[in-house]
Parts: sequence; C-alpha cells; structure tokens
Amino acid sequence: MRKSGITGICLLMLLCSVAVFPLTVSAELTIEITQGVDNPTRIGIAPITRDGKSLPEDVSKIVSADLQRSGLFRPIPRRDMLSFPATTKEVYYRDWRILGAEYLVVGKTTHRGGIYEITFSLLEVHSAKVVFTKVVKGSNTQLRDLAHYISDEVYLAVTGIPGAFSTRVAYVTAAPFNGKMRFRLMVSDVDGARERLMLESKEPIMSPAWSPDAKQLAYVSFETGRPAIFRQDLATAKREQLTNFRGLNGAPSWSPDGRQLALVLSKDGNPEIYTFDLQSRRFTRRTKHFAIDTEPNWTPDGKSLIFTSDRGGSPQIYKLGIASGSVERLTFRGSYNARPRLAKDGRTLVMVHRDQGRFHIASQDLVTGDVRVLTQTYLDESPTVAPNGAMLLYATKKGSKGVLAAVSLDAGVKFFLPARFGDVREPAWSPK
Amino acid sequence: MLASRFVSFSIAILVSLALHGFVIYLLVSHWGPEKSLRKAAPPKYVQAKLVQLEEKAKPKPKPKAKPKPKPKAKPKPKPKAKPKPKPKAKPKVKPKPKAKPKSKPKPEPKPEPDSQKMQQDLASALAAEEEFLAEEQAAENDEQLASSYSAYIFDRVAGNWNRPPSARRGMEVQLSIQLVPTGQLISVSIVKSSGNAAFDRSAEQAVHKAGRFEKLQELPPRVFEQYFRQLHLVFRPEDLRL
Repeated sequence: MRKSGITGICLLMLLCSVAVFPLTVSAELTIEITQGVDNPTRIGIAPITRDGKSLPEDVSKIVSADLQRSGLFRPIPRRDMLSFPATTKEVYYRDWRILGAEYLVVGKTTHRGGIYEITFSLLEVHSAKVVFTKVVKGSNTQLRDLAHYISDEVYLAVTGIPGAFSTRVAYVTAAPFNGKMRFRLMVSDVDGARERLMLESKEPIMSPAWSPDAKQLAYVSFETGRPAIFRQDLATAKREQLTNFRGLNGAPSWSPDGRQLALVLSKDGNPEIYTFDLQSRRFTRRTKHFAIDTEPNWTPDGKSLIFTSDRGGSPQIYKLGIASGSVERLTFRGSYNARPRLAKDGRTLVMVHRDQGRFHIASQDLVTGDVRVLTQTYLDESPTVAPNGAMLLYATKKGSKGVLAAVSLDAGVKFFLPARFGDVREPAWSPK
Repeated sequence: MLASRFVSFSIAILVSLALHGFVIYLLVSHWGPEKSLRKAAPPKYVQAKLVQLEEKAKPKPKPKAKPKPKPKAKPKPKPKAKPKPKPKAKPKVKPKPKAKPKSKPKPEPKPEPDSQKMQQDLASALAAEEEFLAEEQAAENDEQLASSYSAYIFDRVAGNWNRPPSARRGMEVQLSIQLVPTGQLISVSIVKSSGNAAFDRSAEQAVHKAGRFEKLQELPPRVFEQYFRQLHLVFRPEDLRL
C-alpha cells in the first residue's frame, strides 16, 4: 500500500514536471516592454534657406517655436548644431546623435516667379531613415503658413495626432482709449502672429464663435445699445445682424453642419436655449424651464446640445437631445460647473469648475466620468479646445490683467500667451 | 527496517513533493512574463557570477577537485536563488549532500571561456548520472541567465521608449531584433504593427536608441545563441493613463 502511495507520488511528480516544462521552454525569447518614459522628443530643425540665403521669414525658427510650444518637443538650439544640412543626402547622422536628437527636419527652398517651394524631410536619427519628404509651395506672404504646415506634418508623423499649428484664435481685447474703454474683436495665428482687427467698438463685444469652415465668426455686440448677435465674414469683413430681441441675446454656437446657430434668448421671460436656422431665419425654442439655461454648445454629431443650467440648484452642465427633447445632467462633482465645450472626439468635456472657491478649468471624460482640474491659475474662464483635442486655451488673470493661457489636455504643458496691450478675454480656437 | 526505510523515504518524498508544489505554485502564480523578468533580475546577476566559482576549483588537485566542485557549485546557486522567486532551483536540490564542502564563492569577474573549459573537464570526470544532472542544471542556469539578461534588455529598452501622445493602453507592436555577441543591434523589423505608425516608430526608436546591449558580452556563447541572437520584443504600454 505504501508502495502504491509512493508510485502515486512519483506519478504526480512526473505530471508536475510535465506541466512545468512547457511553461519554461520557448522557441524564441520574447521580452515584453510594458513601461516607458514620456519625455519631450528631441528634434533638430536645420535652417531652411534658399541656397544659403535667408528667407523673408525664418521658416525653421517658426517650426521650432511651434513644436516647442506644443510641449511634446524639445528642439535643439541652432547654435548647438554641428552642421546645417539642407537635403537628406547632406545629413551626417552622427552630428545629430551626438546632440541627442531623435528626429531631424531638413529643407531647402527654391524661388521661382514669386512662389517659394520648400522641399522638406523628416529623418529618424538613430535608425538613419527618412520618414517622409514633402513639398509645399506659397507666396511671400504665405511663408508663415508654409512653416505651420511643416510643423503640422512633423507633429502628425511623430505623435500620431494631427497638428493644430495652422489654426487661428479669435479673442476680444479691452483697453482704455482717450479715457474710455475700447473693445476689439481680433483674430490671429495660434502662435499670436499676424494679428488682425475684425471689429472695434466703444461697447462690449462678447462670445466670438467660429463657423465650422472657419470662414465666419458669430459674436455678441452691444453696439446697438443692447446685446445683439452678429455674424461676420473673415475674408470680406461683411457683417450681418441676426437677432434684435429684448433682453438677452447671447452665446451663439454654430452647428457642425454650419446651417444653424444655437443661442440664448430671454425674450420669453428667462434665458432659454434656441436654435436659429440661417437659411429659413426661423427660431426654435429648445428648453422650457424656469431656471436659467445658457451657454449652448453642439455635440460633434449635431444631434445634441450641451448647456449650463441652474435648474438643479447650482450651475451644472446638461445635455439636450434635439430630436427627443430629453435632458440629461452630465456633471456631478462640485457645486459649480459651467461654460461647457466638447473636444472633437465628443468624449472630453471641458468646463469652468469651482474648486474650493476658485475657478479652474477642468476636463471630464464623459465615458468614464473622470474629472481632472487642469489649471492652477484662478479666475479661469472661457475654455476652448484645439481642433486636435491636444490642448485648450482659456482666459485668466495675471495680476489684474486679463491674459490668455494654454494647457494641454493631459495637464502636462502650461504656458501664457504673449502679453498684449489691455485685457484679453474670450478666446475661441478655430476649428481648422 | 524496511518499513523505517520507507518512512524515511516518504519523508524525503514528501519534502520533495512540497518543494515541487511550491515551485509549481510559484510558476503558476508569479510567472507573469514581465513580472518575473523584472523581479528575477538582481538575484540572477549574482548567479551569473557564481558560475564562475567553478574557477576556484581549478587550483585544487584536479582529480579530487572535480567531483566535488561540480556538485558543489551547483547547489550553491540554488540556495541563493531561493529567496527570490526563482522556482526551478528547488527540485534540483538533490546534489546538495555532495556539494557541501566547497563554498568559497567569491564573485569572480568574468572568465567565461575558462569556466566553460572547466566545466568540460569536470564533466568528463563525473559519472554518467552526474553528468546528466549537471546538464540539466546547466540548462536551468542558462535559463535563469537568459531571464536575468532579459530584464537587462527590458530596462534598456523601456528607458529609451518615448511613447507618442497618441499611445493608448491596449496598443501593441511586436518587433523582431537581431543581435551579435558583442550586444550590438543588427536589425529591427516590425512583426506585427499596432496600426499606429507613430507608436510603431516609437518602439523601433527605443531599440535603436538602446543600440548596443554591452552586458550580453558576459553571456556564455551557447546562452547567447540560444536566447539572444534573435529576440522578440512586444511593446504594450501598461503605465499610461488612457
């Protein structure tokens, strides 16, 4: 009996060793890399010139500044560069490895008939491979656009996200002029360059909003003595007044198809959300509630509106199904959530969130419900998300002055935009 | 008397069984591919050094030294390995009785070729069974060495892996890389793409940036050939927020 027991044990051991064996022997060793680092990418941007002569705009400097500002790149300063290659054939990879560059951008320009043509390449330094070579053309005045285009292409290849360097920002400035406040609606490149005046007024201008094709702006102007909604074409500067109701006329927002505006009117008593069909000129009331409903914004599919309402006792963000008319509350954390904007993915909600008495910008993942406070400045307002969803702009205070600031949606990058004269408020990031 | 023998056997067997069970438990519960690689790292290095201990045996009179040192060297590594999650080592404990005498184990630097020679000498001097055991042991050591150096490769590559912001948990790219015994990288190729070019590129870059895995030079050639000439790397971020 004991013997059989021993035999049994032996069998068991045999089984065990058989079971263990396949676990421990494999044909080819596989190593799983499950961790990494997330540092800014070191990139060299060699000067882009025309046969050694500098261009009217320093294109590579603009590219370098674009990428640096994204927070995801750390460009190598030009003074550290050991060589200035203009084509892939002229690159000595060793020169760039020494500098720690992971990527390199080279480019050369030809100038024919007033048109600049830039041939640029992105190279991987460590594997000595060319990722792409592309050509972009433009006139003298478009050199900045060419530079932003190069930035977009490089950003997309390295990060997998479309760049947003070719976009613009609309904003309102307020500064005293001859003892009176002077309001201006401005549009500039997202890097602050090429600032352009759209409208100047002695009365306040508010809530600029871009059309989806980025060719028009809608905004609220008090120039008639009470708030009215206008739209204006950027190319022609032609304006049109859309509303002239008693009471509040505010917070316009373009539908994704560009045919309607959502807006707030208080003509029927208290502020309610309406949509306005630009073709038929018809207003449709969308909310009916004794509480304040304001700041409407479309979901990317155009089927719902998100808006701020105090119907629950404190300002919170709600979602309204346009076809069904059903209303759903989206925010539950904190006693103040307002000024909602959705990123293009339709999933990331950004808003003004009061946290311990201070107003910060926060994001909420509408799928998981996670709320993250993104900013450390306070009195933050008017968040607006970049079309690529990687970053947002908002208005805040620096000292007593209103300034614009940017923060990445992962809160990893934060910076103030260059200071301007007077207060700057209500940024709106163009959709393109 | 016979009975008492059985009893003593059965105790030994029970102990052995318990150890096996423990080993199996460890394998089953802790043998996560990556975890074990990481964990195993430090002890393994120690072990790699222990292999060199066989050198010590050399000074001794050959005939005598041989039988002894061999068994000895082996048992040694085991006890050490034990504290760590190294499972295999246990069952092999058999040679232990033999091993005891020798224990000088100073972490000798790296006379790899020598040790190999030694091993050959020793092997010839040993009985067939011992030889067999030794082989098994060697295979086991090789494996432990391999997993120790896998951890080293993990660290080098992970430390150079700069994930793009479009990287998400759940993405995976598989690379096949070729190395030569100096540890120099010869080629990298994508076996299975993640579908995200930037993500794939970041993985390739990580390997290129690591470039050379010098420590692989310390490996006995057979271990290198078996495990490291051609390697499979799977990049699967698990520490991302999204």
